[in-house]
Amino acid sequence: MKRAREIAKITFKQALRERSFYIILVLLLLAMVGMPVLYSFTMFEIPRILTGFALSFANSVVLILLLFLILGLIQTDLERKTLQYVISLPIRRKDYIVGRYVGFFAFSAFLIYLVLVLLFPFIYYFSRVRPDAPFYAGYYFLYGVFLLIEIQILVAFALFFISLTSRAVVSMFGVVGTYVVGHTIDEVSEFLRTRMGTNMPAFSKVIINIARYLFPNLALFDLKTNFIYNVGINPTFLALSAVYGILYGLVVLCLAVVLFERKEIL
Amino acid sequence: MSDKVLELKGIYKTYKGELFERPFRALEDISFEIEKNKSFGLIGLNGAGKSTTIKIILGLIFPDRGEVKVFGKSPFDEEVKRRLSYLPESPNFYENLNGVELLDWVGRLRGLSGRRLREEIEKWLFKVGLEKDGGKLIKKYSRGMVQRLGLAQAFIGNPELVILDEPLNGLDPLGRKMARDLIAEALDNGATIFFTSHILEDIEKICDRVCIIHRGKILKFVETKEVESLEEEFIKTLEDYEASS
Repeated sequence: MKRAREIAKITFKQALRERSFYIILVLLLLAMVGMPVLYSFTMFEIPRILTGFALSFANSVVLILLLFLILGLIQTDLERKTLQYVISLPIRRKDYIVGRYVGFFAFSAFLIYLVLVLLFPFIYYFSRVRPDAPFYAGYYFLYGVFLLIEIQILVAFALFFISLTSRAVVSMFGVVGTYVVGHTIDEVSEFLRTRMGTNMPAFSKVIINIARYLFPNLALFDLKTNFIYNVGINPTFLALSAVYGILYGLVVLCLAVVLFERKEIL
Repeated sequence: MSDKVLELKGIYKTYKGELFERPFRALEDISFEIEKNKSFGLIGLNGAGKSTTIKIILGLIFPDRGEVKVFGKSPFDEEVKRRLSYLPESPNFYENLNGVELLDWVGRLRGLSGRRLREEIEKWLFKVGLEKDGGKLIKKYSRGMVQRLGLAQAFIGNPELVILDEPLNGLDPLGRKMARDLIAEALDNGATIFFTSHILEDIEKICDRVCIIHRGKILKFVETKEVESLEEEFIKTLEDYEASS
């Protein structure tokens, strides 16, 4: 455990010095400057518009850049053969996988909450100035938890793919593919139930059904609209979604550990 | 207790190759052993199997057949890894760290902490001539500086077995002398050195015993003191092999 902690600490330190992190900080600064501008242009429902802007910023810009940062660090390990050196150090292979997972998760938590906390005063202040809609501060911060659950699944997949292949590009496509399929598979499955969907070739239906069971349903964690409008929030559903996400991530992480133990590090 | 630090018995390794590529036999019946506090050199042309041998010793790849023992145990054993160190050929350390941070990290993994760790970091940075550059990010280091840092991380914590893959690459003449002195000092302190290099002059100066490897096979063991010129011996061995096969 101590050695996994050392890997996690170095991962956090590395991520803090990545260029993508500074790009995110600059964009965050722009988002902070953009808040009063958005306020001045908005006629109605100020708290909702500003919350939507902040959560979308965290969910799209930050999440995507964060994924590139994580994949970039993993790519360096594989392509520059740093992994050979790291595994020769007094660590077990599983320490590397668990340490990277914990380090990336800790960094993601730090970054997501940095974004949410720094944008919060703007939303809070402007919703007091023009309180024409409610602002649910608790849900605003809870959104970060679900974003982190999604990130930990994607990090586990990134580690799974590097355990499976030595080609960083495969790992990158694997994670991006998981992200895209994970966010759309629910809608595609819904489409299958429509009249047009039932006319689809049987082969396509089988593929979609396999993907549905194989890939995580990431749409479960995108609760922006529910949290902004305080609609359709069922505590049992939230708890089950969180448990599903955490368990899914841990299962993929365990698979990554098992595969990595058998991996030839060329 | 056995004095053998490293034992390889009948190691075979074949790489499967990419799609549509033929499998490639990298090692064939490799057997040798290294005794405690000896310096052992592995020499061969490019693609002879030196790096594959090192990867098997470090547990990075798995042999198809044969047995590897480091300190009498499997190379995957945690205790074994604590007792050895490795300097890769053209090392790529985490570039976002500075020299001190890398040594601090490696030192911690080797079980050092507190004052002892700080003293070791200072000592090794000084010994490799990086005492003024320890705070610089590794990405700003020259190739020679990275190699010097690589030597420092290989020796920090006084590991019992030091595996050096082309350790003198990228070093200037003074740097090469410094590296040779560090290796000699480690031997004086009881360490065992496993060394590969293209520069036979360095091998001759450092190693007690040398193994000539060619196309994945061991051709000959040479006691460096018993030959006049290692380079001549190496070329002759290769020429004899090519002529006979």
